[in-house]
Amino acid sequence: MSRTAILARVTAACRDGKEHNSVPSAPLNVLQKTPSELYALFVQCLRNNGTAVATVTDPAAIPAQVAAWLNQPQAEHHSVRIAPEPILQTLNWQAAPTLKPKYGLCETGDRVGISRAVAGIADCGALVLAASPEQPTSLAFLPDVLFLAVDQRDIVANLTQAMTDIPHNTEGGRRMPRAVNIITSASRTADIGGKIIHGAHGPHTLGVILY
Amino acid sequence: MQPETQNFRRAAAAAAKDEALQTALDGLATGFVARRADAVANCPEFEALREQGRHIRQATFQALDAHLLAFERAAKESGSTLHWAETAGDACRIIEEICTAASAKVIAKGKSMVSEEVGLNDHLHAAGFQVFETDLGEYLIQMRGETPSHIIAPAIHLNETQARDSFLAYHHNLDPQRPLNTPEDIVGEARQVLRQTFLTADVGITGANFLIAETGSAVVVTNEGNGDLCATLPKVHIIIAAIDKIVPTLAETSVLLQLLARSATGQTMTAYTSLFTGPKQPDDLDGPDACHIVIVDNGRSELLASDAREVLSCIRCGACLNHCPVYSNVGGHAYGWVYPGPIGAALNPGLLGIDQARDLPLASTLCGRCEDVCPVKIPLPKLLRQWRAADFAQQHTSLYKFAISLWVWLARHPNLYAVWAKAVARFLHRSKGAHRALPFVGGWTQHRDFPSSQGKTFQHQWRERNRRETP
Repeated sequence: MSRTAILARVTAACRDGKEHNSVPSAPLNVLQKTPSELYALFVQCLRNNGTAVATVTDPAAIPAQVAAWLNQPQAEHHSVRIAPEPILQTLNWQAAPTLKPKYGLCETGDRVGISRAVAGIADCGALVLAASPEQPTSLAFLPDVLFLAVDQRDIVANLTQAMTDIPHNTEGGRRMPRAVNIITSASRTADIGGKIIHGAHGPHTLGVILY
Repeated sequence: MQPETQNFRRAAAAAAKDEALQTALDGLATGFVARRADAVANCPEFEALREQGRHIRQATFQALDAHLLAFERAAKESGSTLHWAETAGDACRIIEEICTAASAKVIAKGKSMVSEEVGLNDHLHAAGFQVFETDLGEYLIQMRGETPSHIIAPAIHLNETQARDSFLAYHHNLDPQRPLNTPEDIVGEARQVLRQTFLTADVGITGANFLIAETGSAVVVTNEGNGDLCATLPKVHIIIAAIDKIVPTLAETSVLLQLLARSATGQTMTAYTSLFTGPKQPDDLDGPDACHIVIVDNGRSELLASDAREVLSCIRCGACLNHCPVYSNVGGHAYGWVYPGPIGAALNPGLLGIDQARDLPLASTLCGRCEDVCPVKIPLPKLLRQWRAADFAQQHTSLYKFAISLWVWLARHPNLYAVWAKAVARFLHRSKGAHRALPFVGGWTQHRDFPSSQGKTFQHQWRERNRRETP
């Protein structure tokens, strides 16, 4: 059986009695920063990555911010697909008259997606999405434009901290989410003649709203 | 993929004369190399990360069996089905069976080097499945019936005009008059066509940059987001990955991820870094109903037992290719198999046998840039020298071996060596000018003159100098 044969060969190979420069992994660096420093670094890195950033004082202002972005260069009506999660779903989207909210899974033709990141990573301007009944993964990949809301209190220093936090980000011992997507920019490719083009398969525009 | 590693010399010579390829390769220095340098300059802890990366890979291999078992346990707990493939043929057969059981017709595929290694696409096509590569570079070379020429930029050998011509020829059902004048148009068309593939595919196949033993997750890194769609929309997700992809923990994976994108494209992180753990959970709104992980050996356990073990540390960033003077001149196809450049020259003899890939370790100036930029500090020049020695030991009768043996014998007898060197110095001496042709070194004199010797050996001149200076 393949499994037994492979494992037997691997065991024989790695327990050959030879020392292969056994050095334990060095401890991992953790940035020591205050919340306001983390916020400033996060915003700076998001902008460096070409992501649009806005900060609102209250989540209630999120719909107006989305509408303001979508209404450039001119006001238009937009249907927006919103992740069915408590914070976003309870917002008063009707307050933004140009937005037509729909909740749940993305459908063909949905151009704008809005979801919530479970964490922001300060030193690389990345957002962490975790699949759940409230967070369909495809919502972050199928629309042309993606807006992600993130709580300022959920900004962590670096990737190591974000990744080691993952299993604990979900409630009461729930297992690892089916998909964890760490997103640093809009979808991009350089496969055609070496020029960077956005919107290869996923969104061509990414906007982040900190609340 | 059928190895053509034995044709290296002929293929390299042809590549050096291929103008389109040379223009494409000229972009390496201003592109990947410059961007990596910037990323490293902006990351003060990069050297510390490299050292950690090296330790993580070596320590993992010392107990790889335990980590594989831990991965298996965690992956099963999260609902994945594990399959073990000893050979390329086993991997293809297992995946064909999964696709057949899923009554699949259309398969959306993300980029995977090990799938190229085992020849998965050809196998699935022959079995009647429609397989579509979804990474744009891979899609382009699939249209053209070519193989990848770079680990992270498979179509780096093609320019925009070639891409446009391929799209016009391959998408023949679309309006031939449609605008396809810019890279944006071409990417837009690919997005539109492949979106349909994602929405109709029955099975999604991806590789994995890493397999995390702690959680049973597969890490898929892309800039396009195609891997995420392959892993999310079809009802079955198959992950194909080799045994060396195992990393024990999330924390250690985070170290390797910080090295990967900086070394590869000069990004701090790629646009998408995703961890997939099992199939859709009970109340999830999307995700596959089944997740299969095919763990491939295909010669790696033998490499693990050999003194070339360090080659398995590779995290496939492609930095050694970008910085290699040989790769930069001949491109990836000349190497004749899946893995080109210094890492290919060090890995392919281990996977195919040195007799199949004899010229690859020789295709190096041993300048050491590959080791300098390797994110996990693989001693590539040392490994190439080891393969050269192994090849030399295999050759019993060749003139080359006889000549080298003679040289070794002479070098161990200093008095005889001095006599021989004196004779050569005299033979090469001319009062002025240089040699236009010389026996045995036609390869050199074909392109340039060989300088004339001063007529005396260095040792001779040294003795004369000492005599002059001693009163």
